[in-house]
Amino acid sequence: MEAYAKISKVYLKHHLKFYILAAVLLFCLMPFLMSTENLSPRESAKTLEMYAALLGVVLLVPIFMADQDKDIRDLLRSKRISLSLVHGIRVIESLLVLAAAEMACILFLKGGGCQFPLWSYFFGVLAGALFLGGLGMAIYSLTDNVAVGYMIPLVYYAINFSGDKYVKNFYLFSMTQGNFLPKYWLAMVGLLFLLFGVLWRRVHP
Amino acid sequence: MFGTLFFKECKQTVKSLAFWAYVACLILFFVSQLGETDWRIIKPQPGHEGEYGHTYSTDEGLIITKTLRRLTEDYAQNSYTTYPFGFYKRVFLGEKKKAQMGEILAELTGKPVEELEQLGYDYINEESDFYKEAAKSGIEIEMAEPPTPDFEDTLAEGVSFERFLELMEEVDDLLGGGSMYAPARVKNGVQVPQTYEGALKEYQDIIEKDRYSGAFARLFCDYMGLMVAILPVFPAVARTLRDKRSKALPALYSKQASSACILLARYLALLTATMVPIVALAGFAQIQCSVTAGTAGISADTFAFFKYVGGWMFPTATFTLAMGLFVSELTGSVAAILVQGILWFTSVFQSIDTLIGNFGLKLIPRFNSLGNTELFERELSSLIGNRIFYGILSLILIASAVFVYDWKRKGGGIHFGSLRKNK
Repeated sequence: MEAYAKISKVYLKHHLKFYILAAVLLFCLMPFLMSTENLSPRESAKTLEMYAALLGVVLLVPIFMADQDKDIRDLLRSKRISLSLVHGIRVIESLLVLAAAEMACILFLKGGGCQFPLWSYFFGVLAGALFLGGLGMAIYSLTDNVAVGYMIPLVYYAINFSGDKYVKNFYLFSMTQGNFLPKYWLAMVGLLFLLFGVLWRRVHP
Repeated sequence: MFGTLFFKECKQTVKSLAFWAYVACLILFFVSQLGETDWRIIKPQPGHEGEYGHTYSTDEGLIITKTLRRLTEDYAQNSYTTYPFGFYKRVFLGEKKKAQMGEILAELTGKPVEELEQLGYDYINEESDFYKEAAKSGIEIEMAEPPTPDFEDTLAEGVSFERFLELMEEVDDLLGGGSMYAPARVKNGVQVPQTYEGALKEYQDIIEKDRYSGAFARLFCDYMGLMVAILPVFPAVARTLRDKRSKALPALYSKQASSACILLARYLALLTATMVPIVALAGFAQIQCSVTAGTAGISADTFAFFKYVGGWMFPTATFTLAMGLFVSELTGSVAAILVQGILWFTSVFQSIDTLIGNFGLKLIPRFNSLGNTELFERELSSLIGNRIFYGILSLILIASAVFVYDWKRKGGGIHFGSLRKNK
């Protein structure tokens, strides 16, 4: 257990802190870029789905950046603790930070007098973030190219601007239309993407 | 030496995964946004009033009527669109400011605040008489639209157009500035339904001034500009990180070629690789457009798409790549994606309510309309200014990237947030 805690601490100290910093920057920019005060449920959903969900890309995609260098990966593979476990710990740590970041956004809107159901919106925005981040992380694992890992979720996000015609149950902005069903799909597939990313990295180090 | 380096860089870029992912994303976006475009433009026929779309009018009477109707609706819903610092934002007024807004509106319309309040009640409260009546008539609540006062083309007695503009200034101040009611924006004109005569003139403008394909080329640039403002940053970052990852930097730094030569060759190679797929897609769209026009017996401009891509999208690509290279060189990380991502996001949301014109200094100029040639011509100078601005910024950024590269070559660098130079 001590070793796991150390893995988590090292990741936080040398890598995750930069992504947390980026997330904090995005959080601070939120009131300047989006409406955040006295919003109706629909307007609140818009701010959360179109903005806060992007935190998933910031926090989840760079999971493998710490061992981007193949030599470091080889070194890690020679250790007693499996590489997948190390990646798994990083994923859980990033997920916790992501959940905290999304909750901060939710509470910020609540503090601004916005009206919406807290927990269902929290789940909704987290599902979107999980999907976008998971998609990017899986692509990164597949291609071993972080730039491509960032590119795909952003293009997917842009495609959603024209509605749910092509994406159907994986529509990112469904909460704005009062539909929560796609959120279950997004959350489920997002988790599968994360699992796939970790496993693929194990098979193709 | 430059030529050799340029071709080497081109080869490296084309062989990279990031480049092919860029091409795939570009095609995917093109298909999803423009894949089902109907390339025909039908000549308007008389007798179809209300079906000719919209246009913009600068008629004072219409400006007043439309602006007041919009303000009354916004007041009723207590929700206003503004662009403080150029960013899209919705403003919801507190009680005190809402009361002040009510007074201004009452002066403008000559209607008592109570009547305006009632309208607001009708708008937002499903228990109101209006919605009860609608329910009785079997109309769904989502479909029911409360009536807005039908203002005459004049203001309330004793209020001149000048006074109207003064009050609009006050409205704008109440909303914190940058609203749709700022006098400068109000005077620009309002959207009105197109008439047959207007629609016919617009059609003729498309045929004669745009030479058919120009109108479609604008639409192409409008959509694809969204991608060109973000996607090129990925190959740029991937290319910069590649040297770091393969530990080639010390070897590169020791080469004879100047920093300017290395970076410019890389930049131009990336720019070429970025633009070729866009030009190819533009060519594909141009062929479809020209063939459709030819079938209708109209001679289209064969180079319209290429001209628009060169003038409209090229500066976006030069800026995105320059930003990508500069930040990547400076930080040696993927931070360029975050920086360009924020710029992209800001620009997308700047245009969320005004997809046609109002170019200002937006990184992604939007003109999401087929035709509207007259409006485009009116705003062309603003678009040219915008594009020159980004062209100049690109030059500054690439010069800065060369400077940073040279500095690092001599031992400088950024490590964990602090600047240092190795002795």
